[in-house]
Amino acid sequence: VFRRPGTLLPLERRILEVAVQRAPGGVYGFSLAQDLADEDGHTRLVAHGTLYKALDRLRRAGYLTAEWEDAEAAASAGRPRRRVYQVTAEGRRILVATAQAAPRPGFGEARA
Amino acid sequence: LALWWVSVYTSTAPPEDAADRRAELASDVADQLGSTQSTEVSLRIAGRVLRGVPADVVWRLAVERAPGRAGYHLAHPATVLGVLAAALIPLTIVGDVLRWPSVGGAGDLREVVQAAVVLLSGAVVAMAFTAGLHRILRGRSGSPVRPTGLLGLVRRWTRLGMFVTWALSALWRFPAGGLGSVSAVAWAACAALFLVWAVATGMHGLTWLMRRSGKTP
Repeated sequence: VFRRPGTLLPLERRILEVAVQRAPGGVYGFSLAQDLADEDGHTRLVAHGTLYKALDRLRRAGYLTAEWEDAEAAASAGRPRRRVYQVTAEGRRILVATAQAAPRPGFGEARA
Repeated sequence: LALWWVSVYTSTAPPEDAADRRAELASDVADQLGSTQSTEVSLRIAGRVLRGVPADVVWRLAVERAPGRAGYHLAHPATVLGVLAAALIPLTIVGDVLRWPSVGGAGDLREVVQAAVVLLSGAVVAMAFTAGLHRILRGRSGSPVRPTGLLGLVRRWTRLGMFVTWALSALWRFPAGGLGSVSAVAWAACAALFLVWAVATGMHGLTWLMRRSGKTP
């Protein structure tokens, strides 16, 4: 919990990477869990607690913004509202800054 | 399971954080249920819930570092009392088991467990007393998770009563020359409250099932 500002955990890095790939549409909880599992070639999705704690921290740090989708759109689709996350300029900056310290193959490439 | 657990760990959290987390989980679970026809999907969701429990607890502890939370918990002591009771109840049972003559050679462990029981039960009683005093001096304050209806109120107050009477029972259960009769009376009160709580919970469950099947009582 007590972490040096400007550092990212591996999961937080991967969330930001997916959010960059999915911009400008944004990501929401379940789609993000699926994307993270696809990247790793896993069928097991990241745990709720792990995912939403990481999203909460990234949002509070200003690396992501969160907005609830329109209630009518969700109702017409017959499901609860989704909370859509968008990566911010600060999020992109921290991703680049930390990528220099810990390069990751495929970073910044568009998703097929 | 997912929706029950999120309601537990967000209970008495700051209302905005709690509402966002509950709605987000409901959306995630609905999306996952709608993503496949597989019969295993419920098990997979349960797995995601269980694997995330430590992170949920850490999140909740981080939320509690915000300013003003101590005063908030004095006004709404249910969560703190529940957490303390969840630790105290199994520990008291272990303390009782260690007193059995057939469990020999556990003298040091028994003393440590009994000291922990006295400490925890003292904390429960002190918390309940302070919260009661706070309520008398400051008046009743609004709760974000106020139960609705008579059954909800009965379940809430009997649950709180069980925590406190169990703690009172445990406080005087072990010390030599302690107030054994006080412990016995408190334990009997706890058992009576448990019976009332069990009946109210059973009626609440029946009401919920009837509503779900479209037969509103």
